[in-house]
Amino acid sequence: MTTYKFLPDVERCIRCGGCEVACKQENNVPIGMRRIRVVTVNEGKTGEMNVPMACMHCTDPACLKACPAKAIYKREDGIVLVDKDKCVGCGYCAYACPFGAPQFHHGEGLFSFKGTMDKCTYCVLPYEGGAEKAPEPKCAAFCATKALLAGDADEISATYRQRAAMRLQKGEIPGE
Amino acid sequence: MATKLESTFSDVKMTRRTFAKTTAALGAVAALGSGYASATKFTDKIIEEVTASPSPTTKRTKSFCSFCSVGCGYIGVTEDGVFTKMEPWTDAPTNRGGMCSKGAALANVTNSPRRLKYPMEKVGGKWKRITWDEALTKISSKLNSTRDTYGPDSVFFCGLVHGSNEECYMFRKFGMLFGTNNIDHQARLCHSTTVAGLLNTFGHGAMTGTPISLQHSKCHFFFGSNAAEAHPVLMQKIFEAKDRGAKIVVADPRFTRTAAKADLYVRFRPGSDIAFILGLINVIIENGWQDQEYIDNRTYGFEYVKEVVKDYTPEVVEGITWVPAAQIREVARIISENRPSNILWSMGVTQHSVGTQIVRACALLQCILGNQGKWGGGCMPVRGHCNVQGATDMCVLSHFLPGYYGVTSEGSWNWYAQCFSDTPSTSGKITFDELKARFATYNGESMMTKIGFTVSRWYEGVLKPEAEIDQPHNIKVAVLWGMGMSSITEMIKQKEAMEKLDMIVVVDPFPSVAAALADRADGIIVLPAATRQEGGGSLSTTGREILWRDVVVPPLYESKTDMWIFQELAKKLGFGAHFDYKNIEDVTREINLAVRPIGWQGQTPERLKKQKENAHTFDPWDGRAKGGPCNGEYWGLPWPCWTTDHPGTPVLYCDEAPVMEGGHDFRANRKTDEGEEIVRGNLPPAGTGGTIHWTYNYAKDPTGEVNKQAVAEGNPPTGRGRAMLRVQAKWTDRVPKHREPIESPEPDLVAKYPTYEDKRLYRVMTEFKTEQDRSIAEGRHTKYPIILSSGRQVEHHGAGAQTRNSEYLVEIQPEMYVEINPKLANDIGVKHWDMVWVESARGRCKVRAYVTERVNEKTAFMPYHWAGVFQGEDYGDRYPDGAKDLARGDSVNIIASPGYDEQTQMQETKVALCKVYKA
Amino acid sequence: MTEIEGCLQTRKNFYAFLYRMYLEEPPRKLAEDLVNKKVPIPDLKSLNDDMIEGFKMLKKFMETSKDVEDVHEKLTDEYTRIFLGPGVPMVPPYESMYIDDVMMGKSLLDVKKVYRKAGIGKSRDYPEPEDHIAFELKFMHWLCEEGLNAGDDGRVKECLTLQKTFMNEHLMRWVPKFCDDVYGNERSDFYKCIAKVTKGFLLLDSELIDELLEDL
Repeated sequence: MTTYKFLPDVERCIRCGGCEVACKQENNVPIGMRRIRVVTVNEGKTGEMNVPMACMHCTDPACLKACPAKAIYKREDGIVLVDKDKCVGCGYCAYACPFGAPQFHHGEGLFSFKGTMDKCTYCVLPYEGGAEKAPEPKCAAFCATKALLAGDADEISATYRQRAAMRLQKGEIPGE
Repeated sequence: MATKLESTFSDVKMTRRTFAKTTAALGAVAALGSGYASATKFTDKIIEEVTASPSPTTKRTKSFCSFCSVGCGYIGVTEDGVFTKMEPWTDAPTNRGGMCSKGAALANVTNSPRRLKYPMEKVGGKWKRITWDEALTKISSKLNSTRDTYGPDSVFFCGLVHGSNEECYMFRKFGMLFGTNNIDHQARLCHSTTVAGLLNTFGHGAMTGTPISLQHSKCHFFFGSNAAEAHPVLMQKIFEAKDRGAKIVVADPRFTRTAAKADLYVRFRPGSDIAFILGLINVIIENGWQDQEYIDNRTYGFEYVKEVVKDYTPEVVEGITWVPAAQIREVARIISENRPSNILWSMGVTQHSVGTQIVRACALLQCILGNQGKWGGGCMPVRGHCNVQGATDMCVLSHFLPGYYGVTSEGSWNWYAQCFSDTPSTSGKITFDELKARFATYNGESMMTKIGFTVSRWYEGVLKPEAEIDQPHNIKVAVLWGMGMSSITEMIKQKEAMEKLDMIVVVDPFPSVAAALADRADGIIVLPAATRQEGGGSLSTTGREILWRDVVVPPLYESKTDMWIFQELAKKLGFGAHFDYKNIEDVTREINLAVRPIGWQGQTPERLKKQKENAHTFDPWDGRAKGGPCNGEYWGLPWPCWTTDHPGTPVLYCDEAPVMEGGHDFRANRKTDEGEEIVRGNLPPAGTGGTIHWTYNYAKDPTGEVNKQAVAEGNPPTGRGRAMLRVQAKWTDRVPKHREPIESPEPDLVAKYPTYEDKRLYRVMTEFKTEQDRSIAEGRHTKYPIILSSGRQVEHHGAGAQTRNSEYLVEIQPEMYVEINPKLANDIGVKHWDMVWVESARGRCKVRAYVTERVNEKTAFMPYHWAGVFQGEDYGDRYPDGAKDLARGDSVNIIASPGYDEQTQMQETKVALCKVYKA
Repeated sequence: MTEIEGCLQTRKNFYAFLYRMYLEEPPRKLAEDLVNKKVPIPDLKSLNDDMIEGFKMLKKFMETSKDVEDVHEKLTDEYTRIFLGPGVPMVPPYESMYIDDVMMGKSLLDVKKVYRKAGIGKSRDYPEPEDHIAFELKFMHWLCEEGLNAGDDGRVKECLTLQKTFMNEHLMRWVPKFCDDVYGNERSDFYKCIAKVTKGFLLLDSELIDELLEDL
């Protein structure tokens, strides 16, 4: 059974923003909402690193457990979604999520009026309306440096392992 | 978001049979109304019966991005004729589907509500719509009357860096037939020094590999290139090499996003580039790391280089560059131990008063290491706009004709008179004398063979007294074709010039700064141009690859393709016969006929389109088609592509393959000052079949037979020469040496390494020594203690007219700022994101302070894509109401340096002196 | 002419008047009529508030219109600044801008489907997208014309039903807000009147369509 995942190869991310714009365009995400964003740590110094952060579609989602309205559900293929009709906009999922995936922006500023939660849907559902589509995340498809890997967990792990092996070969330990 | 249904029904209750009453009431008004309906000026028919397909179709068109020059492919999706979104084109060999934020926003930019929709004219302070015919008639009238009264040199044409190869060729042709060499484009400001430097060293002025070839390198040395922001997808290729063990060295005054990926980062003083490179060469020679066999057989002038370089020991270089001697030695060691190594550069190298010489220094380095002409080695000047390579090759430049034929030589004009007449693509005929007669005469000489004004100083042609410029009269009319004026320095002078002109013509998909910078009530006409997504034709990437674009969506509103505008204007100006192409492919065929020096013969429309259809057969590792209809061809048929069977030349000067397999060599057409022919010293490696050969007479052979003969003999038509490490005596510096920037922070170093003498360049006096001395005399090095550089942001492009109007891109990068070091911030009492003034001897800008350690406490950095605010004043009100760019900011080019390159008049935007203080 | 035909005729002509006001800069003839006080102000009793205000303002505008050249210049300038550009108009007259917040949005695709189903589309020379207010009003005009030329009541009913759907699913979802924006814009003067009249007329027409459908 396919399990869909993301794997950001931070060695390669250069914060070009291609993933951010591709996501916006594909899913009609309004200005102010960021389903995916690239976060930079140690800017301007040795150790500067860029991390593209969408939703990790966790195996054991904290958001799902925290939701009092039982609006969040996980598909068999691993993708975690929210039923906007059930969501009451309480924000517990945002507290629970370690990645900042749940978003509530529906107006000027980040907490203008807290409507229903929106987050990355692995490009299965747009911001509003629409039927479920095939899981083909545009962020990864458009990634300029192939840093953001998406797809079946086994396949992307294999890709990443190969890169890691090549890097180890020349003496560099990934992540250091 | 959906709006709710308005429910503001009136109180008066409508009863049945209301319509009888209301019919009566409204009848008279209505009757009149139907009379007005037929009184239209601009629109004829609105609605039509639709008999075509009853269901809306979705179309997928493959095309190439129109921002930077890496050449990323994408699929444009149109639903029911509307360009709705993009999909990744995973088979495109260069980017394999990946795109940066700008590329991903192409649909958003194309559909922007800020598009220019109709031709408009500013009259009496107000903008008015006019028809295309009215606009073209007014423009051609003005061009003709200016020509008659003042001569054709009183018109300045510039721009079209984003145009297709075909449209750039048409632009240059237009200038030739109009009778002026005052035609130039953005390459003047970005890689003109690269072209001058490499052309005179190697024979061609372009990137010596392709983006795909970068994967084969063992070491990437980024010297003045921030590829992570300027050419993001290029980094994909860099990482492929890095994952296989390649080293990355970054030397940059600023710790950029590219530097974050380096194995070794070196910070050096802006403007000390040559000293740094010569220091590396010094260490290489000292250690005997040079490739002596290569130097002996394939270069000329090494002895002279050794003579100059011996003074640039690491200790001396440390005093000039801020870089510790040990680090200089380390860099030299890494690039020598990991060969083939290449050197990548962009504006960091080119935009200096010594830009051409810095380029030459980089070229020397690669030759000395034996990297030049190897897969993964060589010189990689990465170019900025989607077709700046093409616009440069088609020579929309005031000193060349398409293909780099020199303007100063009558032979070039003879050749073109012949091509214009012989090409089956148009009906026009013209003799050499007729062509010459279109040009003015000045001081007894024909202006035809005089190089023209450049984009970097065109305004001097408007402002300076006539006695001080090298043409009959001042420039009176400017035609700004896809030219964002805020990428040119001396914006205050430019504004003044634009207010003095008789007429400004702006051709652009967006109302750029050109339409609003000048404070004037009349005399501006804007023409809506179609974007690259709405027109076809080919483009040339930074790697000389020629890619064919198809139309994703036909031109929106009343915008027209550049080709259409040229054809219509040419008709009104009396040389329409030379522009009566039936389609854009016919222009490509004329280029195939005429542009010979760089081998543009093999890139026929058929071959280019076939490659596009069969992209999946090209191997992403080396860009070569393995099997399939394009078997053996390299992606993009990189020039030189000598015949219609030739596969293209991915790596210039590479002698490891036969010419028919993409092999090449250094150009052999330069003689020493003593008249000695310079050919290579040994035979090309076994199996290539070539001989040692001086150049063939291929450049003016319309039949292509000479090309075929040369290739059959196993040689490139340009012969087999040597890299010129030392250039001819007419150059001030025959081997590069360090010279301080015009606005230097170090008076002592200015005394030791002064800049050039003032000289006349491109029709106007250009100050070097005078300005440098003035800077010291005025004490600018103490008054303005911070060194200012400008450069790129990944989310914005060029002068920003397109990207600052995309909501997606503005969301990520909304405001203009200056990067300053935390120490400087604390010294001037400023916190992150406070407003500050950045002031130089030219003026000042009001921007946000971005406090970061990217820059050290002696330097500052400002992105250059911003306009709409002038010295703190928002001039959005000079834009037509509501037409202001979505995001506006002050322009760094108001305060940038007054320096220019000694060969090409490139502006020195990388080194100026400024001070920063709280606003 | 029957009562229904009379009503269709009037509606058709009124739509012609409205779409012309948004299609292009107002014609010189309108400036002449304003100066010569020839634009008829209807009997306001049977109209709704918006239309009453709109026509009252128009009457006042007419009273201050003295010189044809001046008035024509003024109308042209007003139209250009508010609806044309260069660049983004002050009040973009497009359904997508109001419903989807972008140009060429989903609303454009939706109305194209509606037009195609009715058997018409935009002509090759028409440069704007089909969700421009002039085009949408022209569609209503065309449907009135179809109704008038119809051979049988069935066709008339079809056209009216189509008008009703288009009114509810498209026009009424954005045009009233658009009219409010034009009215509130600092540059508008003549177009304040037109905005009010447009809004009022659409409200009125919604009811007229219902009444006509009942009668058939």
